[in-house]
Amino acid sequence: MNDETPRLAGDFWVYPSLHEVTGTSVRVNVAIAVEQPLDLQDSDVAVELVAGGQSLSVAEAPVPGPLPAIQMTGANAYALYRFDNPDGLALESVTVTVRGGSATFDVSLPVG
Amino acid sequence: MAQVRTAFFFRGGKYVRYEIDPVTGAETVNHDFYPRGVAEAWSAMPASFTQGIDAVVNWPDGFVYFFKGSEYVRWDATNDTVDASFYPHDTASQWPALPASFAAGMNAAINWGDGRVFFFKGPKYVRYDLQTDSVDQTIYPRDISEGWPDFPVAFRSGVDAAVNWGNGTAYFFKGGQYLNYDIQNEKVRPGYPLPITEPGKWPELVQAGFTGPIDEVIEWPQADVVSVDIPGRLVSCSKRTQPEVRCGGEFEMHALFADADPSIPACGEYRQYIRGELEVNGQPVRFITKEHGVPAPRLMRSRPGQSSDDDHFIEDGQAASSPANPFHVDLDYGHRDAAVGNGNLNDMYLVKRRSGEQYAGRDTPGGVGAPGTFFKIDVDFRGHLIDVCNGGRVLFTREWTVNCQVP
Repeated sequence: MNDETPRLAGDFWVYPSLHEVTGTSVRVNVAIAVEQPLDLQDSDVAVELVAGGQSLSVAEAPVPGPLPAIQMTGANAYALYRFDNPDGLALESVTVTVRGGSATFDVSLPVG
Repeated sequence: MAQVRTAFFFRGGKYVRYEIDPVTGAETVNHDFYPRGVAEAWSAMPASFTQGIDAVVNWPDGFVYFFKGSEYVRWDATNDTVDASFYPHDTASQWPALPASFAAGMNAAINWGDGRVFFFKGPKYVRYDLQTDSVDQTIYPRDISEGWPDFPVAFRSGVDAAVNWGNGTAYFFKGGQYLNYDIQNEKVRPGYPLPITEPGKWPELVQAGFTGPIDEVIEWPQADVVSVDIPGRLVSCSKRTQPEVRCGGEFEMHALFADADPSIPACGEYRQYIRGELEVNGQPVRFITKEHGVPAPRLMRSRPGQSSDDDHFIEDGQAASSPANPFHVDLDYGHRDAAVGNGNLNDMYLVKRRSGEQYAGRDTPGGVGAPGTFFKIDVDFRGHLIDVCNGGRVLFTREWTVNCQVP
């Protein structure tokens, strides 16, 4: 990620973190600020990972139902994805969509 | 837990900051900085009030009132601001309890620390009841010589400045002289008046050249902590797997701030900070938090390495972003100016948000998910009690950890 700054996707602050970036797959763990745990369902969220000019296919996505959440003062819901990247394409961007609102993050620089 | 007390002496366009050690009583002035121009340091003060202030008095809700001529300014000591769109404002229109002659201008004011404020003008004074915001106009204005019978003659015709020193003593200034007044026994202590220049009495004022006349003195409001229970009832790990998975901790935050002028509860606030690591279903995840007053949310940070100078704590808060947010405002612990007021039952000042002496908070950090969800919560918390009227001075600090894992 170029920076560690959450962005607004419609009404929701979101932040995708990339992990296990290997030659064949990439994990994208998305934090979404919500007021209460279990506010969001898996169907409320979509993530697109673009690499080498194309959208990578989703290998793992949240199970149907409410997204798991962690609560502090407020709460974050978590949508965890794994994308196939069999050709090891260079990562370009992640777009997080929550209830129709989207935010795009540049992931072209190495993961910090 | 008594803190250094601060008093400000005003004369002309200058002021002196006076610091009083609550234990030893030692009084000091940093003569490298003071006297200093009011206009230079009190940046929120309207220009007309940077010279020749008549009277200053602190109020139990953390506001300090400056009077000059027929106008006044309300200074918010909790954030050092003045509402420039309203102040200076005509005293008569906003202080209906004050007799017209006092609203037109006065010489001195003093918070007596027991619910009464005295205003002085020439040979008269009035007693203001803070509880009812009223003056008994059947009695006041009254002659100083009647209400303060042991005042020396020179002081019966009026006083220039008055201050409650917070230790049972009030000082009254007139020209180059002053009185030492015993508040409890309601009498001038023997031997007074004395000149300000009397050896050993006000050496710091003398060195600063403030030998009289003095326009006004104010003992600045401050926070003092009476008792603390933070974290209270700490449970660092509590978990269950049915009907949904829950994994986390819980604790309460209780503080009692002193309410004895110049100890003003409105000056005391709680802050909570977090850092640490989180996992959901075996995956490391970040946490979006929102620091009070910072425009954009940011991410909770991991614990630092041992060589780091940065402790990585950031304030624990939540942005007003979600349509599910029942309050539609930013949430964080302990800020008295929170837009939600006492609407958040986990973050309350009692009885009133701005001036309540009790803080009561509760936190239940942790994970919630459908059966089969894995969580690992390992978060450090830091609780502070701070004095917002004195630059955010930290009065109390404590750290604790919530560490919980399921399965």
